[in-house]
Amino acid sequence: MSFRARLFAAFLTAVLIPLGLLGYGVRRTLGERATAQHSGRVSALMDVLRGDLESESGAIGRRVAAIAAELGRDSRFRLEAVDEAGTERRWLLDYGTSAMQRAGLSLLQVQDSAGRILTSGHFRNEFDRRDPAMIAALARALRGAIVESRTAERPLVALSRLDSFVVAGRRFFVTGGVEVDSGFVAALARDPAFKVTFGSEAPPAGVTGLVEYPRIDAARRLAQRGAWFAIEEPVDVLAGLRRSINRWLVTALVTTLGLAVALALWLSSRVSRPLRDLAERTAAVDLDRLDQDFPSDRSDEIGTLAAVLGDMTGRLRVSSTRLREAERRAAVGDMSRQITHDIKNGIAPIRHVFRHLDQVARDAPAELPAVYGERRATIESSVGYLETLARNYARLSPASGAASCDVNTVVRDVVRDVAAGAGSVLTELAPGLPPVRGEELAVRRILQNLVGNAIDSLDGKAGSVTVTTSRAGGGVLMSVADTGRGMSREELDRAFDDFHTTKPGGTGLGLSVVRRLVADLGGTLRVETGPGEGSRFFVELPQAPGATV
Amino acid sequence: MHRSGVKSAPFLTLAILACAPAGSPAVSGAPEADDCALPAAAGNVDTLLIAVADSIRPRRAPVPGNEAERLAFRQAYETLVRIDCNGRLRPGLASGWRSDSSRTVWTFQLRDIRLDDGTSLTARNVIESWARHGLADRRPWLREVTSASDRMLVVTFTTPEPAPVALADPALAVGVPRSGAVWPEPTGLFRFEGNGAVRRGGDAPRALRFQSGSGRDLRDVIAGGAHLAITSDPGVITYARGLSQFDVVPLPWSRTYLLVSPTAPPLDTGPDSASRRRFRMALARDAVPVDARAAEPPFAWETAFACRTDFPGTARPSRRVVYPESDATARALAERMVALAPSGPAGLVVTGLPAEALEKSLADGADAAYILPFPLLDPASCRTVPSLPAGTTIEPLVDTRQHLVLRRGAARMTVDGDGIPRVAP
Repeated sequence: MSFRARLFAAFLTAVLIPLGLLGYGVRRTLGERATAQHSGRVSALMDVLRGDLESESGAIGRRVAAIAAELGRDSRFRLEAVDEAGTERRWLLDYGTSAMQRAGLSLLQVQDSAGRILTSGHFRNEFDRRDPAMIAALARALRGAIVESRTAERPLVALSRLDSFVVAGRRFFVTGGVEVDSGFVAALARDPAFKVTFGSEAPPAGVTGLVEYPRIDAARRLAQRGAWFAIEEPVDVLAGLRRSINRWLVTALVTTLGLAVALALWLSSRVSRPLRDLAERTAAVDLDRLDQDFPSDRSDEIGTLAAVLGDMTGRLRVSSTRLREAERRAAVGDMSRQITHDIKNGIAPIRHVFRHLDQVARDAPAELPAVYGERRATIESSVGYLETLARNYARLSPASGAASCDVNTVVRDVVRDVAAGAGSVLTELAPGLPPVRGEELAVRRILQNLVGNAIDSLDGKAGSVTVTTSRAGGGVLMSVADTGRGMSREELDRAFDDFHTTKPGGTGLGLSVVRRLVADLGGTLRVETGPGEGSRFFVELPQAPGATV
Repeated sequence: MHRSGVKSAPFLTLAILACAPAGSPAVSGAPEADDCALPAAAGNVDTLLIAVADSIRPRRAPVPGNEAERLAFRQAYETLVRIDCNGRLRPGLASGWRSDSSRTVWTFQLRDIRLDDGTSLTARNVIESWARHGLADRRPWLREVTSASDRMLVVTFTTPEPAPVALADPALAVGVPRSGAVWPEPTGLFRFEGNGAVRRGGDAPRALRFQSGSGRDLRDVIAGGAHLAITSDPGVITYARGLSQFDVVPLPWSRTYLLVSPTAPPLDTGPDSASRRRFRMALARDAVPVDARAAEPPFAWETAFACRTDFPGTARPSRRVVYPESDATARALAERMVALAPSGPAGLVVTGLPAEALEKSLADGADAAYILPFPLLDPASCRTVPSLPAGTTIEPLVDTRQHLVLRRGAARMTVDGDGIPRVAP
């Protein structure tokens, strides 16, 4: 995970978790309080509703009682209902309507003790129908009941009360009621936040408050808890409050999340981008490119880091300049010593020839021309070597890419030149070797240095130097073995270092040059040596491209 | 169609014809003594104020569309013949009439009735008046109407008629249309002008003025000076009877209320005619808010319904007992049917419908039963008969009548057979 992603995640976590906990706590607390308040309100409203229904029932009872009292005193009623005179029949039939209207009732019927309807206000022409069960059922509902009746046009549900009166020893019953319609139910709702509903079937699920009431159904069966008035919110207030809290909580979370994301992106980019720039600039720094700047106008840690990197790069620039100068000087010295070494290797045979010629001129002048003739080739070979050396140095690097040479030829030339000096050198050359890749000069310099060092290791004592060639793998294996003093482990470890020498007057570059040349030619160099056991150098050179045997 | 207790013959002879001397085949028409005149002292008022409950519209003249127009138009537009309070056929625009031997072709001799432009009423005027309202087209029993001369009108019926009583239908009153005039030119005693009518000659009253009691208590209108009112409201009748200057005269029984059941009747009105009569009497006594009696034969509706042969509807049971929404008597009867129906409190309900909806419901047989008013005297026979589904049963319930409240000495009035009073000539 990138630093930026971590920074982003950390920021969001640090913002959202506390906010979420805060929201959850607020929601829970508000929900609990709202529930408690809601329950309290519903409970209070139920008490009010119960009281209102009792009050309404009482008012109906008083009006019904008044009608009963009026009829008990009325002679026309007595004439028609008791004496059955027939003269007041139309008055009695119409009495129900007028009395019901006067009393502000929606249901009114007067019945005799047999249940025969004498007059009806809500259904004028229902007279003479027998409905004794109504009286019996309503008589058992002392506080009144919800009665399911009908008018001529429709069903009628009314909160009803029963009263009775006696005329001439006969009991008559008055049933009066107020219709439980939408207006009646709406008037029971005291709190505008709640509404009251009415029903006689099973109350709907989730109803908060329920006030049950006796009910007399159309079949005149009384159920003491058959009707109900329910208190409920048109839109569930509690659920609405919870939804509101949730909505605001989600809104706050989403808003915060958006702001946090934006802020986190801004912060992470503000922090990580300079770091990324510093990383990219730092990655571009090396010894060849120390001109990298680390500009920053920041005053924070990143600014400090940029300043440190800038200072470091500056110091590296200074050190690099000094190092390059030292390298240049060292390279010039190395080259001078190498040139000197190579020239000495080229001049040494010529010096041997001239010493020989001088000796012949002094000892046997007559043989001088013949000896000169014999040694002229050595002189010309050395001069040619020097000329090639000069050309190579003129190119500053030896050419070795496309050239090839015959190893046995080079071995013979070197051994011949060396043999003209001190010591004896033996050769064991395998015939038919393929040419190796590289210029002859390079192979010659390798052999000259190895053979020269082998001879030198004899320290002028009796011993032998043997040069062998053989085929090996894809190339040619040369070995130069001597019976000299050999090298200890420590000496071997430093034998190929520049300027390391154990010989008085030595340059310490011989084996170093060999190592470089073998590497240039793509070959390998291996040494077997031990103190007092002599040394054997193995050089394996690859076959020249396209060479065949 | 099945009717209560009686399998009716296609045609029943109306009582009206049995005592109709004017119905002879020979030309007749000599006026007889009018024993339908209402008692009135001398000293008629010059302008007779008539209380009506509805508005009166010239557009419909001379064909009445409500009770107010029925009363008003009767004063200005006459029919060829009329039926008096005793059910006798009387001359109207026609002074006499005769039929051919088939009794389908009837020839009417028009009286010399002067129109406002000085010309006399012609047979052509009558034909044009009927044609204007498409009256002849709506009467399948009327095959052809032609003029034999200016004052000879020939009416051909589709079936033999013992007397031309169908032409006493108030819907066949004649008014001569005049271009540019609001009201058709009258053929009766009065000519409409504005909100009233002016007598075209003769004695007082010289003018009629109609006071609409729409939305008002008719007692207020009477107390406000009205001379004449027609009502069936017991309260108004009781009130007027208490006023010494008014006479309250019951008009002829004019309407029969029928229980029409497309399927089985909602209740059993009795196993025999005697019990059914007792049932009807109880209805008339207790259930309706107007002066009523048990429905008595002869039943004009039987003749009327017998001529209907197109019963397109198919009865479907429903819970409603339907009545014309503005008819309190029909409503009371429907209420009583519901109260007595054995289906119990959860059974039938009453429903009032406007005329068009009621007609459609009847044609479809969409409801359980209907309480329908029917003219007790139906000169036009099939005129008011609606289409009914096959299998419909009809049970007569009660007859009703209205009362004339007339200020004493205000005017000399006579009463037609359908209970509508007219100013006596």
